[in-house]
Amino acid sequence: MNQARIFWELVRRAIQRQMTYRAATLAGLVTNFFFGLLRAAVLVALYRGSRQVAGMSVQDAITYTGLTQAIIAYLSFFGWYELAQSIYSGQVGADLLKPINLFTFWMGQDLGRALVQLVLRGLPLLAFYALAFGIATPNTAGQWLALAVAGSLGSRPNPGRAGVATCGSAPPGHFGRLR
Amino acid sequence: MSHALGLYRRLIAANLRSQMSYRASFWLESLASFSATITAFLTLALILERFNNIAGWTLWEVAFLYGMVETAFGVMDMLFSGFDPQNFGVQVRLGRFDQLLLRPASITLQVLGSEFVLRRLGRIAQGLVVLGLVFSKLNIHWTLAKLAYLPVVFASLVAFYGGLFVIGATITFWTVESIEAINIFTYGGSELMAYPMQIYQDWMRLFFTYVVPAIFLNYYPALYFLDKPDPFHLPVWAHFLAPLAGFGVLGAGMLFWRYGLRHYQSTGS
Repeated sequence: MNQARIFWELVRRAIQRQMTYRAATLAGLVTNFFFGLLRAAVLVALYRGSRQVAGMSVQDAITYTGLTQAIIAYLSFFGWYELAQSIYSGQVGADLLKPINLFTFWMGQDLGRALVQLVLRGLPLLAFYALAFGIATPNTAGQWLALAVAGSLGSRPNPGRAGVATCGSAPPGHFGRLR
Repeated sequence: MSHALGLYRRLIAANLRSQMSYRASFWLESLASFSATITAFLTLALILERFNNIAGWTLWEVAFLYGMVETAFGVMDMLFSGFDPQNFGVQVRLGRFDQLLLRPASITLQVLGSEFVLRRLGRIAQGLVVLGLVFSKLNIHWTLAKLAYLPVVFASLVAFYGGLFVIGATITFWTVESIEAINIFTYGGSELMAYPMQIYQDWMRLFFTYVVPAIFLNYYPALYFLDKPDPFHLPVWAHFLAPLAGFGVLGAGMLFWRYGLRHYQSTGS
């Protein structure tokens, strides 16, 4: 089998595996939305009286927190430990023997996981945000393109992303999950 | 009782020894947790600097709320690590909890002694730094009553978060996996409590008043310490409900835990 076929097979299996955790995905969605509500409440209170701060309207700022909440799951913001765990358990030895490049092996699985998280968790969250607060959307085709590029470039196994999530989401999170 | 305490001390000591055998890792992780959380505070400070205040609360007044939450949550996260739902769910799934049940000692004590995450000291240190700044920047009119009430409020906060952890851990008896939704109450509760409560929509505030009594643990005591008026016009004793709410939630958590233990069926693994 060629590498590309194995890769897409891994993606397909990862999607199937993610789909079996529907309840967990729903619980995660509720959690992300709740944190989103908190952050939005803080922003609305801060903006009271001011229309624009640092070039951002309250709508823009709320959209920003919505985006940070929506991408948590599919970009694994709280860290990705599967490779580290496979090294710890020794499983990585068997994985290296497989007729596929180790990076491609993990990339395929993570892409499948990320796709499900994006569709079942990220996009519904943005939809809730749009209903509850109204969000700012890109105006031009170029902006949509930039959004798509930025969104897909982020999707890659990356163990060192934990800090970025909460640093990036203004107002600040409390790094509750950092361990 | 003294036997129980001795056992607890031994469990914790063994735990600390194993953590300190990775000494460099301990220091790095504590440092990471300190810098990550202090960055969160700096972000808060920078934002409030730009906006001046949030719902009439200045930076250092909000920092009082924040510092109390951070320090108390950090202490709780260390003491109640064994009940951390994420971690406890794994113990249940792998059947390690069943091993504890076979031992001739109190199961609650064993779970409490099973983890003691020392690196939380980083977050606790951060909270203390913020509180230290708050006490030097704010002109709090200290009275004897306030000085006596402060440690009570702190202990109540620890008990409150501890109770939430115990409830979250007990739920995993049925769900096995820790459900992410419990984070709404634990991490969400702590984030919510770091801001003045009048910024939230009514339904949210009422929920965190009457269902989960979070409002009495940090917000009302803060009104009392900082001599701020109560926008919701509750009776004056609302400022002093912290111990009742905090230890009440811990008590309810322990009752639920005992109920869960009686109905625990193991996963069979």
